[in-house]
Amino acid sequence: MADVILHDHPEFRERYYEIRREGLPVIYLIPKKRVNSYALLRVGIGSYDRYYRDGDRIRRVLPGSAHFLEHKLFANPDGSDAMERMRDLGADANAYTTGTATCYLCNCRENFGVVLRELLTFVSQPYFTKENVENEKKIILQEAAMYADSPSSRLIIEAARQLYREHPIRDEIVGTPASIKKITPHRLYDVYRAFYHTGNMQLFISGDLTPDDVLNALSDVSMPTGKDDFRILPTFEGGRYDHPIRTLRRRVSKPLFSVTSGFPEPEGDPSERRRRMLAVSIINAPCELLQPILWLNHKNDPL
Amino acid sequence: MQPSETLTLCPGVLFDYIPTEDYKNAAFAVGFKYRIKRGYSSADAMLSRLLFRTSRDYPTHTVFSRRLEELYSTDLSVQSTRHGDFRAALFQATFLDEPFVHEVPSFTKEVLSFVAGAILRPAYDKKGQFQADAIAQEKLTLLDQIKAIKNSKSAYAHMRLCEITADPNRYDVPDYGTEEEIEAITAESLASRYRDMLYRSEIRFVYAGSMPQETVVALMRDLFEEILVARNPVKGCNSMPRRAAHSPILRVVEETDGEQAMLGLSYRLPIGFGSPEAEKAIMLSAVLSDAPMALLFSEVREKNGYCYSIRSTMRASNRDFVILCGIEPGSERKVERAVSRVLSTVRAGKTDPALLSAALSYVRMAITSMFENVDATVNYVLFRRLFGMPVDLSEFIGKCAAVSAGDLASFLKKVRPDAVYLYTPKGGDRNG
Repeated sequence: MADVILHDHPEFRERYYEIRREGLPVIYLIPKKRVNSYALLRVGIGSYDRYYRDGDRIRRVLPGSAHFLEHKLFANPDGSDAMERMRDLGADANAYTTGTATCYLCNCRENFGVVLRELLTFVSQPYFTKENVENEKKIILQEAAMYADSPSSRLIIEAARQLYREHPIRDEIVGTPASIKKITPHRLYDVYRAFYHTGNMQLFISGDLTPDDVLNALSDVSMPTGKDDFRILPTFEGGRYDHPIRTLRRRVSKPLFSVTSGFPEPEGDPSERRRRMLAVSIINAPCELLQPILWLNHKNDPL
Repeated sequence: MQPSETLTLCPGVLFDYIPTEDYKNAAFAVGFKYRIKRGYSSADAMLSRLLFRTSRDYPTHTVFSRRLEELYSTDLSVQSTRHGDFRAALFQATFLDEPFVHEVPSFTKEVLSFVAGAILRPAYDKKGQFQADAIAQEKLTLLDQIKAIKNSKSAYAHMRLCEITADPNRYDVPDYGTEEEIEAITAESLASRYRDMLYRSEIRFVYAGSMPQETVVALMRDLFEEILVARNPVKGCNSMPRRAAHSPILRVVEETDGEQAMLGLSYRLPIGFGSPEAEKAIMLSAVLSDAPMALLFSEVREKNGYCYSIRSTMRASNRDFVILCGIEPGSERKVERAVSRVLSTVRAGKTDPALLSAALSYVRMAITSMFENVDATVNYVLFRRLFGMPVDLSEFIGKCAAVSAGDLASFLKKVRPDAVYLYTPKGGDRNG
């Protein structure tokens, strides 16, 4: 079953289709000119996801699992690599993981229908072996080392740790070296089956296709379906932390600092949430005034 | 979007008009191309920043920024870069296109007036010079910029690799100069370069949006009148002269702390800016590159697991090609061998035709993506026209399509390894 709704906003010079098929919501932005075509598939699993429901059981997700899945889904059961297949189609593909989602994206000048099918296919066909998982660990451990060496990355993580006593935001998206080493193909398959299904995905596209082309592409690929009530979202524990000021000492060329504040999100009314977000922006705006103040201080007394 | 035509406002001052009604934004940019001067790279870098920070009518950064917010969050950007013997200072504004602004009559005029004021009427002190406080603050900012680079292992390694391979006989310094140059900047040196920029440069204006051409031309003649004076084209070289590669290869190891080592490999290119073999260089860069579909990524990272981050940069104006890789300390020799195997494959004429085809698609997409929004289009057109390069690259893409594995092989044989830089925690370079 499929629904196709056209949204037309001439005041913004924008038109897009909202398509829903087999539980997968799709937004198709009609491009103004046929230049490059783009697709982004968003899956609702990120580094904040640490637990999920599996029937009556609560199961745990190792830190870094979402990111590891993002890396490994490009491996195909026939031994090929989805990146190379995209390459052969003239497309450029990539992926990234955040705290709340994993996104797979691609763009191309031609063959967009085929490229779109390829994107949906490789995300739907996980293939994890002991060998390819062990090989990926080496790469991801290097990624973890890169963030560990970066003062600005360290600042962001330490700021989050200052605010939240217990929350996955305290960890790097890639996980820890210890958690990365514990990941196995079996664990990856478990997490994949729980989170990778059309009820937990959204697709955004813009390019050289008609809505019927999009529907045909969705029909041609058998995407996994699953239950809706599996997610257990972590709660942010608010309140003042014991150590509001923390110093991380390491050799740097230019010292860095951050001032971080957290605001509890109101439940219920979405308009109240928007008002609160706007208030946060207004409150944070005076931080720009800190710049000249800091410079004036620096003139006489370096920080 | 393509420029409809080029108008000559006066000798040495040209204007490209790009009509479009597809977007909510319009963009306007002015570029100055003038010869570099030994010891003045930092002054040039600072000058552009000073001009887009305050002006006579908005003499503090706070009121300057507030005015931009009043102009519906108009975005200003400035680029000041060196290309061979030239400095290019590009000033750009991206703003709401006129049909979307209902409360402010002649909105485009307001924006262009603001830009003209920033460039032509700086916030001077009573002596008619750049304010000492502003210069002092920008010095700190530039010095901070250098320090910030050192905080990033990757950026620092790239900077050091460029320093150790710089030609000492040319003033081959980074775009922002050196710490010594920054400290030596004075109001007088800035004033001198400001005059060079305004009156001894080639100037190019570009506008993309829905305003009629004659309206924009009339605005420019009015607002930029004082620099619409005839000038001769700036003659000179777009690329550094060719320096031979180091033989033997220069190898520098420096110590750092942390977990990861950075390996930099530098190669001398046989061509410079605007060379007739440019398409081979571009295709080679795309074949090797750091895109997931390219050889360095697939061979060094995916197949061998030697690194997470491997990237490459080609600078035609400096005639160099650099590969940078974050690696496990002590693994530099095996990574160098892996890169060497990749290059050997290309040198032997064995580049996979599928990869060549993918590289061509990659180049096409990179070029066409320049025309997907107004600010990228204006920036692209301004830079290319300022340096006498074609905007319509269909002919160039045709040349790229004709590049074969054999062409890449013969071109790569002329690319010489020049230097290796290793920035490693103690205990690295075990095989050094």
